[in-house]
Amino acid sequence: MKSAVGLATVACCLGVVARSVAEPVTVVRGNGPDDNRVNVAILGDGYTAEELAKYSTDVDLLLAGLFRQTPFSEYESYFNVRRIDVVSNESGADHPADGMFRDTALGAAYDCADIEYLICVNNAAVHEVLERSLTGNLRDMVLILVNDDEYGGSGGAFAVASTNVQSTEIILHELGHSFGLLADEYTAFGGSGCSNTVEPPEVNVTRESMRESIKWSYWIEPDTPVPATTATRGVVSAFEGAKYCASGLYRPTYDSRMRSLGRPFEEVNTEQLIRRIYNRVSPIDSVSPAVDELRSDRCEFLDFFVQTPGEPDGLPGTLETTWRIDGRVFAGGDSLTLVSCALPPGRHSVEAEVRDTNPAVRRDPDDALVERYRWNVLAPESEILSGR
Amino acid sequence: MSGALRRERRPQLSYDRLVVVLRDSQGRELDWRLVRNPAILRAEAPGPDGQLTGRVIELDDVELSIAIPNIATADHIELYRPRWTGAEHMLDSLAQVPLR
Repeated sequence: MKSAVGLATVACCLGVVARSVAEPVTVVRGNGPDDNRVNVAILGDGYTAEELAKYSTDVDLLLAGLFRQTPFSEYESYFNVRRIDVVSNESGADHPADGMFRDTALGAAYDCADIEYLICVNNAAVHEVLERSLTGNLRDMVLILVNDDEYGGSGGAFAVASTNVQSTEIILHELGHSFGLLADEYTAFGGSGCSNTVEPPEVNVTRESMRESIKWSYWIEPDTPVPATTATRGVVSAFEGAKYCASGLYRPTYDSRMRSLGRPFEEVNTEQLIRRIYNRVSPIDSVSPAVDELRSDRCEFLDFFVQTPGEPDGLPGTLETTWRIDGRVFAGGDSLTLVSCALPPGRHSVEAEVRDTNPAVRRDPDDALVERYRWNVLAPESEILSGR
Repeated sequence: MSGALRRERRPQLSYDRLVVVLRDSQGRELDWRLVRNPAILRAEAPGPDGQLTGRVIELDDVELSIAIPNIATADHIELYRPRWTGAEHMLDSLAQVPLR
């Protein structure tokens, strides 16, 4: 199939696919139930069987770099990471411009689209490995590490990076795009790719320069000039020049990671990344009882419990649980014990609400940082012990 | 695909996503989800001061692999590409793919 946007083949995964032996998979970060974590899959290309120990070390270095960066450092326990040991026949990657070719499992090649540092991989080969090694819900992020120390990589359906010293930096920037849906904040030579005639959809770029109309106005201090008048790092305002346009579009900070490597994401981008983590992870891992309809025929203790993914690292008390009975706030904490006959006879609701109150998120319009679970409780008719 | 396929809790459209809708033979929606558009590639590199330069490339020959729930009545999938108007995303139809 060839379509207007060039999707050449649609390979659909309904049913069982005949396949060869799955590659070994190692859980390198196991932080909780897969169905409530951001699941990262890492594949290596250009690593021979003899280089798998190096691959393991390279992956560890990459992850150490990723989870050193805010907000991934605080939310590391919200991620599960698997390393897939893909073995190539030869070490390295193709450099077609230099006439250098390597027989690798995923076909990593520099000079893609005639750009020296752009590495493309064989998508079909990647999908084959993923399909035989991991179930579909374990691929929220797919990172491919190419065993070549020349700078290179690409962003897209998969984040691809070489083992160059900049690889962690470029993958973090790429995650800003593919995971955080953030725009680039740099300008392009000659304005190539610039489009400033309509308001961009990304949260970190705007056409607006009036304080009250800026998407991130709630991050701007009252005494900060808007638009920004000085090239000051670490201050939220509106800095002209973003998303490939030298003018007509503004970015929140002077120099964030969406503009330069080696920089923090800064406030607006960090806030968005946290919201996006909660796009995959609910603040409630599990509840007890696991049924939502409870009937009590006698006077008894009813225990309710919510399991959370845990506090973000270094932010104790950030996850707040509120218990409501029939809509009224009753208590806090991870658990609640009720005496069934202390409730008036009849039907009642017991609700647990868990909310991440991390001050790094000032706006959460979609309630991504909140989860609620409700039980319906039928209290006994007996009033023997009511008032206990 | 057998087994549970998770939905996103707060899905957001973006230029680098595709919308996949699973329908039965009557056209009833059975499932939908977002997948990354494999045709979109970003090429970026830092200058001497760390500031990035780059461009977005649209490949014209790529493979799209989609994991969908194994629903007995599933008949076909529809693919849509989001287009930003300045105020909202519109969905442009890309393809309809039969499953049988």
